[in-house]
Amino acid sequence: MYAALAGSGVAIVPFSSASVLADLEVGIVWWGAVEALTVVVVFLHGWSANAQFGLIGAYRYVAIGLPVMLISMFMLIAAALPAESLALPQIVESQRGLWNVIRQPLGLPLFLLLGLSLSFRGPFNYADSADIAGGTAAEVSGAPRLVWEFARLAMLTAVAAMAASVFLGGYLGPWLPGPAWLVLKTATLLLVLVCLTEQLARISPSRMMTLIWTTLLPLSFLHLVWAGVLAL
Amino acid sequence: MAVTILGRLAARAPVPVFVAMGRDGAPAIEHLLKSGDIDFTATPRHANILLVAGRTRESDQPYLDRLHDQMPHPRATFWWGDAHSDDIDEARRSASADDPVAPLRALYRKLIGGSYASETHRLSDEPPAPWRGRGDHGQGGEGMMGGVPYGRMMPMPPTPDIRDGLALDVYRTQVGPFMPYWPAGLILEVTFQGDVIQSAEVVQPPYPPRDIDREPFDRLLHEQTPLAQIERTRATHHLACIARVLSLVELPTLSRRAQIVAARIRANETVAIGPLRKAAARAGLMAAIKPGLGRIDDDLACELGGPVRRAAGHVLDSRNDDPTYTRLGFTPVTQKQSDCQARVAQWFDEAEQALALASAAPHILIAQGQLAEPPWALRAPPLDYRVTELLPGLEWSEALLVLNSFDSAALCRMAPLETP
Repeated sequence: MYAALAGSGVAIVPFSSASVLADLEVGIVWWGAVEALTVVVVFLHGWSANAQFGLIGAYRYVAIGLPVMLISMFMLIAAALPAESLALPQIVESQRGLWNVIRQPLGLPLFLLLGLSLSFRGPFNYADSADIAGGTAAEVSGAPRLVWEFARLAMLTAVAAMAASVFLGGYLGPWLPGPAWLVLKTATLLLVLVCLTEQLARISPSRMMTLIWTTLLPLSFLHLVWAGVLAL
Repeated sequence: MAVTILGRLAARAPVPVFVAMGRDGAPAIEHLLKSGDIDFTATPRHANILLVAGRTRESDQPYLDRLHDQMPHPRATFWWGDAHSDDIDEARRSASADDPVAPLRALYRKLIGGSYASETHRLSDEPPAPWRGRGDHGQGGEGMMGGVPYGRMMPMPPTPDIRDGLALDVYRTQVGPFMPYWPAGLILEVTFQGDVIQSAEVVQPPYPPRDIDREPFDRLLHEQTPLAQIERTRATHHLACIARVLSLVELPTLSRRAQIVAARIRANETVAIGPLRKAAARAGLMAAIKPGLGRIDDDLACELGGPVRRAAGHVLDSRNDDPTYTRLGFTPVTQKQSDCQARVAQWFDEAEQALALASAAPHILIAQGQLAEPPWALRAPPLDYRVTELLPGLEWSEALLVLNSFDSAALCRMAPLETP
């Protein structure tokens, strides 16, 4: 289910101006559904283990995942404003003159937090961390664990591909074909995400909640207002 | 064909090992990380080999059996240390002085290849909370959990909690004695609400400092011992403590690096701690630990002694009165806050100072019978104050940071067996 969500997230990312697996008018809403269902899936993964550490991982994931999801939606709506569309191909096309990472500089960094949160890595690893003996994955082994770890990586890739399209112009770029640009930008963002995973310490869940609700969420709302004013 | 190739690839992967640290004769487990051939797993479900390092308490055997039975097939147990019985076959044991990486790799290859039979269950295949039948009103019906005394025990018994009175959000469980980043041997009975600890009681006390760390300090009682060896052991001990804290703030790469540095110092290699400390600072180690977390009062810090006392700002170190150390210009390093941050900073400072002393005096011997300041708290009778008093109200991750900010000798004094 988690891997399927990652796959359905990638499906709306356009590889070129003419090719996208699922050309949805409401691509951003679709991605929002992917984020929301990921929170449910990870919670169920921890809860279904019927063990204390899996349950703690599940609790912690929901507590952090929900507000991070709100930040991400503010970022995506802000990116959709210049395109006047919720469809991802239109959002990419709206960046022909100027990428959103320049137009809305806060968008990409805040969206990358979502990448760490959705795949629970590094400073956002509250679900499957070592302090809770592997958390939601503490009770799985063998093939189910392989699929779970694959899904985490797939979700990380999906977030990177989504961020590359929404903030770095997706397939847009000179000399190389569109898909090559998308792969390059996605790989670069993956590298950034992996570096963040290794280089940043994790604070306690309650301090992270405070940081998100009192600082990052208001910041993301201001970002949305700013993007709205620019789009007028 | 494909299965054969996958099997061969799997056999070449790092050996997934779950470590159960023992009490007597526990070897330097961090040594295994040097080769990169061993993968320490966070849970037995992710391991194929249960590595028992040293000898455990007899009362811990049921816990060891439960860990064993949680491992997926194919699985095996490997004993590393001198205190194990000789009836274990050669393929599954190693002396503490030997490097067990090659035997572990060989055992894993045989397990994956099928030439070594997977171990069977040690415990009988019964549910830990068996179904108790149907109640007068149909409660505890077939397939249901819950219901007291009927049905199965729920993971969240309906007990009022201390924060908001929610009845379903509280559960009680035992944690320990074998878990990564958990004081070896310690078993706590913990009552949770979500991931917040409501109460904790000591079921079994933690193990004292490892023999391998104690060895030069014990030897000093009977014979001359090189100062460099004493100080290197101090640095190694502190780095092992720092490595646990780094793991707890989700910096596994730096944690591994700290353990490898510790293993290299133990092997008498010349290594600097500065780069590790800078990398930890850049990653936000101190910012990740809440200021004031795990703060203890002055009286308790003085009772505990050692680095804990110096982290509270007390300049008390027996090396200060030792002419050998005085000639080297030794001055004790201290912190002020007496919290987790201060204790971690104290470990870093003392480890760096220890290596500086070792390199400044590579051949100086300390006379036998001299009292050397050990790298841990004073080993004295248990204190009235219980470490469990520090835990209620803390989130699980914070509680682990608090526990791991004390050395094992301090925990032994603060977490003795509760007397009825």
